[in-house]
Amino acid sequence: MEIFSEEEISKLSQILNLILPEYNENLPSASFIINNLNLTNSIHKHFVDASKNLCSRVENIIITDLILTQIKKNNFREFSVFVNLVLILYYSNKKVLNNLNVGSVPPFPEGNFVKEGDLYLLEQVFLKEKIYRE
Amino acid sequence: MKIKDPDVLIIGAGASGAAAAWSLSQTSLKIVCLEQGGFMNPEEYPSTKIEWESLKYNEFNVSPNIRNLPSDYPINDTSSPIAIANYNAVGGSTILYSGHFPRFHPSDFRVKELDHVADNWPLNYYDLEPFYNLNDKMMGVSGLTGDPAYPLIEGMFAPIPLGAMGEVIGKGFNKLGWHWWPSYSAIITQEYMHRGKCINLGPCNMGCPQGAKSSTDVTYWPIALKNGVELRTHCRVREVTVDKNGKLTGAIYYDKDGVENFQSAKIVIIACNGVGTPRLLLNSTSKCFPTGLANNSGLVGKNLMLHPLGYVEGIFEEDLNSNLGPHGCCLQSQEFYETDLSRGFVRGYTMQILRGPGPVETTLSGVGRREIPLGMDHHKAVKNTLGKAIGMGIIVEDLPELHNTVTLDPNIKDSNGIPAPKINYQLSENSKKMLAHGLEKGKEVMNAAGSKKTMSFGPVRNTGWHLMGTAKMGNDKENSVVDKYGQSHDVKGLYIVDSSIFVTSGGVNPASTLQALSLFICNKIKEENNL
Ligand SMILES: Cc1cc2nc3c(=O)[nH]c(=O)nc-3n(C[C@H](O)[C@H](O)[C@H](O)COP(=O)(O)OP(=O)(O)OC[C@H]3O[C@@H](n4cnc5c(N)ncnc54)[C@H](O)[C@@H]3O)c2cc1C
Ligand code: SF4
Repeated sequence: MEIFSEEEISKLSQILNLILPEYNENLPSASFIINNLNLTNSIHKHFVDASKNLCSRVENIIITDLILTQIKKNNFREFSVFVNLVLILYYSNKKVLNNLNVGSVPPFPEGNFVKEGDLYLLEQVFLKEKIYRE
Repeated sequence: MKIKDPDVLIIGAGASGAAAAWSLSQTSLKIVCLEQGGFMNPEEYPSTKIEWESLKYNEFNVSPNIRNLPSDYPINDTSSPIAIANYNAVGGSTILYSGHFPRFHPSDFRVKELDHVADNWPLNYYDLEPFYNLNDKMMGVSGLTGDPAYPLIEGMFAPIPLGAMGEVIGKGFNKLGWHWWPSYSAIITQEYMHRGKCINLGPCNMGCPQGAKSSTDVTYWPIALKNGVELRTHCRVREVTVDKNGKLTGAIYYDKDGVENFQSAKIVIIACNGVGTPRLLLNSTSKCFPTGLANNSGLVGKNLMLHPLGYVEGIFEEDLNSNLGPHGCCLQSQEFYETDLSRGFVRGYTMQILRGPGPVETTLSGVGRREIPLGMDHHKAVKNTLGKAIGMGIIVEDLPELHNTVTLDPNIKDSNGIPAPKINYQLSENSKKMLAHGLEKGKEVMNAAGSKKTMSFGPVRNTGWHLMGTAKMGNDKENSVVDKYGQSHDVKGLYIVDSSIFVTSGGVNPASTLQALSLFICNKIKEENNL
């Protein structure tokens, strides 16, 4: 069974394209989330519920920036929950992470390089009198 | 093999319980430990999965009320501005802890004498020093010798890398002429005892798959088990029992199938943390102890201290890769640790520098605070924030107050039907002033370091991870629950080894001190029994 109806898919794609639009060819629009859902994952399940709830509150077929602002205003709580789930799912996507310059991406085979840092900076602290009380 | 008649029964396999199990396992004592959680599987930790950050919002959340796993018990913390954080498994809360591992200062044990507040501890820094050293060796600790904020501490592995962000913020502290020092970290920077070294993955607060973070499931427990300790997992203790004369007999617990069992023991050591321990004692009522076991002083569950936490964040122009490396371990400042009454409050706080958050947390908090927009400008704003943020936790010393309590909730019960704990907690005026001071000073450092946007707030709600004071130690049995050696004044053979027994909270993370205390107490048990 399809997760979303055609109407829901249309509304959701438009909303997602407006919230997180494509940014050069590296970062896709968030609309890919709709096609990457795994219902055994609780966050994905929450996303489906939040999406259906939001769609049921939106009557417009065409959604513009202006209409989105209205949707947000009239459904503040539902919209916030939806946006949080979108952000979680968007920034848990391999392609997005690979293009974000966030270091190694899970399962973190290599770990990350972090530079030691210049410990000579501590010289002036080192020269302080003891600062603790006995 | 199942031990039928143990000499020692330990309840709780977390930071302090593991240290106790290891210490006593070096003797001929027969030891059983009951733990309500199970063993963790590091291969299943979130950081092995692409959606690692999202798991922080459910099964790896710091709040047991949100995780709601079979090993968790609910905690009613609605009457507290700070929510309780813990983890229930072999390793206890060290599974999620950051491994920031500073010791108390010598003055922390003498607050009455020096600052005329609360009570002195019945022991001092130098009584604990050998056990701090032993604990560092067993846990594996990294850091740098020569810190003017402490008596000499030696024998640590090389410190965790400062990274570009550490250099930037270190220069900020230098500009102001303030103290700072690389973190004391319960994270190993070289291979040690079959454990891999830290490879800077970052999400230490969701379990370290590398085994580099010194959680007790990978430090003390493997040796304690090898030495013959029997660890019974998924066993939740309902009550510690006494006979009709008030003499300790053992404990009643539910096993993994929910079946009620009784385990006898000569010595019972409670290590369930600052909320779990008073809960267990208050649930252990009898004719001899109608208001809870070991509670003749009436102090079980009182004096809860939580270390209210302030948060400061600076966003910098340059890319600092600040989201890489152990989240909670970079450097700390104790410039404002010791009392200076001209600041308007007594006692002090630590500034703990935190690495920047990952992409999910960066965007969730940025969008929530309206600093990262949605729409066309979103990605640019993320680029300007991610890897460029430096965080700071202000760890405020909380003083003991009788009205800050753990009691039993009259309505809420866990999955075994055992009454859940209820928290009543408020920040004192002293803590509020200290917090406000810390937030201001934190912003000053961020600005001195070159932050282009700085913000601060506190107390942060989901940070009740340091749970102290609810079964206070002392020499006077009218005014304390246990003696200097962790033994109940009222029940011979009943010991408490976790941070419930702290007299005051210091202004640093407690794990190093509570484990040193656990080793100190077990050393006394060994001495007294000629072991
Ligand atoms: C997210 C997070 C970050 C932290 N960061 C730091 C840090 O950087 N530095 C630091 O010093 N501290 C930190 N802490 C705090 C530190 O982890 C705790 O202070 C420490 O683990 C407490 O040790 P404990 O032995 O008292 O209790 P715990 O480690 O919590 O262990 C208690 C154990 O008892 C078990 N238990 C409880 N009740 C029962 C029962 N009735 N029957 C059977 N078993 C029971 C629990 O399941 C648990 O495993 C952090 C904690 C959290 C949650
Ligand atoms: S940063 Fe180091 S200690 Fe933390 S999870 Fe990664 S490897 Fe483990």
